Amino acid sequence: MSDTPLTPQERRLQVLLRILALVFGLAAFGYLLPALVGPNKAFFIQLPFVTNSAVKVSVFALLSFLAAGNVRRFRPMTELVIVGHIISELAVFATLIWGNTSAPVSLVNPLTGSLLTFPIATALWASVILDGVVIALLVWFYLAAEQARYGLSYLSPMQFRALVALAEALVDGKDEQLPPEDIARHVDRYLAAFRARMKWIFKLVLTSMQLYPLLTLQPPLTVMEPADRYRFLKRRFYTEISLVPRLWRFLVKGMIRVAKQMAYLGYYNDPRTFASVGYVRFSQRPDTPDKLVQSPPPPRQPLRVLTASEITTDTLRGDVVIIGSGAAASVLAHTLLAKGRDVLMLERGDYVERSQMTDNEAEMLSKLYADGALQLTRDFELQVLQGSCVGGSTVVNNAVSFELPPQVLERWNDPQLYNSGLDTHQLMESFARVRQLIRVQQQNHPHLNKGARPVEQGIKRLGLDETPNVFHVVEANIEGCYGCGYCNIGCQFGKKLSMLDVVLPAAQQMRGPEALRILAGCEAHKLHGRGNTVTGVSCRLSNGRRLEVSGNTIVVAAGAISSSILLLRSGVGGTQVGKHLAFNMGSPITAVFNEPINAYDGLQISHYLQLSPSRGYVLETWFNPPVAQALAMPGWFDDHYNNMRRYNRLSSIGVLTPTASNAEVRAAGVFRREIAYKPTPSDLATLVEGLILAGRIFFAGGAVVTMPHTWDYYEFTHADDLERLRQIIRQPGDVTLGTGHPQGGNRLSKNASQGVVNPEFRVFGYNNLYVCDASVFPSSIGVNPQLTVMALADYAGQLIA
Amino acid sequence: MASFWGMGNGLGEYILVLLVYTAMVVLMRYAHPRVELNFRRTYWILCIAWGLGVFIGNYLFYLIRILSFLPWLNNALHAFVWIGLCLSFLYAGCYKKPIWEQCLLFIIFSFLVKVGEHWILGTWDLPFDYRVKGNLAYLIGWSVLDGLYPYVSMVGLKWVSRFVQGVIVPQAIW
Repeated sequence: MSDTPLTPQERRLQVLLRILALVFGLAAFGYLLPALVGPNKAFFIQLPFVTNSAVKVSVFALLSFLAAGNVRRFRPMTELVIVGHIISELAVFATLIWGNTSAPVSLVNPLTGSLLTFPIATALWASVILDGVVIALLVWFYLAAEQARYGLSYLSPMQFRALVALAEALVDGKDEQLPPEDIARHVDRYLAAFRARMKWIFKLVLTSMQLYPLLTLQPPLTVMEPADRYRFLKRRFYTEISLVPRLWRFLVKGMIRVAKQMAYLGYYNDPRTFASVGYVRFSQRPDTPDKLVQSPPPPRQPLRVLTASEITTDTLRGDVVIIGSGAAASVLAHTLLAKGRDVLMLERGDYVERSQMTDNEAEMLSKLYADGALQLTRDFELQVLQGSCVGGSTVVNNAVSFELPPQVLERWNDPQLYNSGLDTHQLMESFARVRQLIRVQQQNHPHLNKGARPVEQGIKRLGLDETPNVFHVVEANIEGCYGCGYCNIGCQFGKKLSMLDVVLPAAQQMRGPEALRILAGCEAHKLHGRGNTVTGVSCRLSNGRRLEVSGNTIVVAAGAISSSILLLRSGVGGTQVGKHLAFNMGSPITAVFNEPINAYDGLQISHYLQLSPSRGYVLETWFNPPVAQALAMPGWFDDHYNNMRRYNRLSSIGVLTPTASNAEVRAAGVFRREIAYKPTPSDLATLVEGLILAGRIFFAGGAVVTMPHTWDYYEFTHADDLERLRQIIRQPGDVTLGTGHPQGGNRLSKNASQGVVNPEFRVFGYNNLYVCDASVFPSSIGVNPQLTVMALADYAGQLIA
Repeated sequence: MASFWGMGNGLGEYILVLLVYTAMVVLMRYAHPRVELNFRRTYWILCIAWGLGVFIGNYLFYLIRILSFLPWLNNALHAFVWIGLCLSFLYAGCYKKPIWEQCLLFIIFSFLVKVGEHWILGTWDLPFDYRVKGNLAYLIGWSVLDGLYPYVSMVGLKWVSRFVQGVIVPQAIW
């Protein structure tokens, strides 16, 4: 890096530093000379400030001179000049506030001999202005030089260097494939690529981590020697985390979690690392050409999507305005169009068509996920993944399709419980229609998750496949799957029959692009109304413009989190909005095998196990491309690195537990968007039981090591050792938790005091406002919910039309 | 100036009064944190109608000697801020409750605020010795009258809805 020529911005800083060195040098003489000669000798010679000031500006002159010699190598000297001036400013301000500055100063003008008299305060204010100008110029030139040097798009130079320092420690192996600067640069580009309110939290984390050592009287992270930094991070953020006071322990844990995510994303997204972990991209796998020839990708169905730049008016009107374009919104639009209504869809995310999808995980995460896949609960302990693009989560999910479990529907309709008032017969018809629409089918093809083979063996050896247990290949709306393993970053081959690929094009074909208008990059902010009628919605386009959308019927279908936020921001839906949110809480367990199994080469989720009678969880075989797998990989520092080195010998099982409805969405906090959730002890215990069973299955299937994703790293080598998990996982922070299935928040109920929407999906108290998505679920359904979301949308469509 | 501020009162006293109103609103928000979108037009109609009505009414009641004189600033704050904004907010949150429950809520909140204003500003001070000693009977009496807010509002809104669209007319649940 130091060998590359200086950028113009760095040269500009160099010039400024040389000028300052000269000016400071002259200033030193300016202080000393009147004390030695001239008419003011008597005044200057007696003042201590003269020597102090002469020393101060001389030091600044020397520092500036040295810094100008090599602006890169002697960068800290520039920083010292800036910090020195800031301290000087503070000292002068203190004097102005608390000192006696009214006394006059009388000096003789050495050229004219006239007497100049002015108060000391005037001299001090002049110093404030001069120092202020120096600080402003230096900071400006310094930041520009640093940004240009590193080619940064989002992070500040200090944050960038902090990330480099963190990456150097966190990606800890003997044969690292890329330097930490490259890791940090990848992260900078990733963060610059997406729009999210939460993004600045990354800057905050990096700044905090840089300065955190100061609390323990140690130098900032980037100034530490690498070995000291490594020890510091390991000790303060991992091994001795329990010594951190409870009140800010979650913040410290949150910081290191975020730092880990950044470092691993930056490292494992680079193709230079792929060979070292044993990963082969789909495009380079030997059987890929054959697969593409045997079953070519289906032709892309035309879909007309309006973008923000195409909207030239400040207002837009639709018949039915649907907020969202995901599973519920798309099926609903399809149904409404079939019934003769015109639809205008508003989607916050971008339109990413198939041809724009790649196998670059970081790029796709930034393009397709809400908040770039960074959505976390308030305490940073549960990651809530949701798609944010035209097609919503169906573009990035695993397409796994489960029917609504009958016992769940029974509970929903129970008058003593949720009293949903759903017509069971009509709902079953909707399920059938949706299955046909998105062509749900059992994934009986040769390209299943290869990691499922040992799982299957283990299940059979333990006798868990016997009836009434269900161990099956999943059903999914996937047709002719190649097994590329990229379901979660968008199917570029059109094999996943998502809303983007099937339902929206079909709906638009049915009545034309005028009858179904889809506007991407349009975030709904607030609903407006008059009495019981909602008249429209205020939106902000991705280019920053405001747009007022009006309609006869407004349907909020933005997903469990965003729908609740919109209602809360608009003051709609009474006191129940955002409450009773639940999840399918998931946590993985990873197993190591002696032989390569290349679990990445196949359908990501291919099998599931449901025990009967239910123990409250479902197990699903699961695997990911390197970045996602690294983010879910247990271990710290060298343990994590070594685990990733055996990536092609790993297999994972995800344990899915339906949670109690004790979470809440709030229009609160720094982002006015907050998910408050703490798993109940019972939900956590159920999850632990699931992890233990999954571990046992792995051992029965031939695994040599299993690793749950716990905060403290454990490798289990024997099935009985897994029982220790009951002691290890006692708090939510002891294990990594995630979900792609938030449900509830705007409960469906006949009873207005219990729910937000009535059995017609209409918000209580409004004539024309509906909510239709997973947020209306009265409780978590315990299995992948997309089919239920779609079936409810079809059901609702019959009522809304 | 005494008729504007009240004898011996200044900015500090009125800030305290506003703090009392704020504390009451904080309590009200526990039950219902915001004015629902569909009630907003109704809310503003209530704010204006009650604010103006009470401001003028208080002075007229003083003229006919059934209410102590309220300094103009106290009257304005009480009418527009307390009755208009705050009690209408309370109404927006409880208009679906049984009418007796609403009335009780209004009586309690009105009483607390009147006692607060009496302590801080020295207003609401008219000896009215009806079985209860001192000023208490007077405070209770006017608070009970304020308890009619929900019923009067319901009747008023029924009438207003004939002329203004989008006004919610609460249904009386006894």
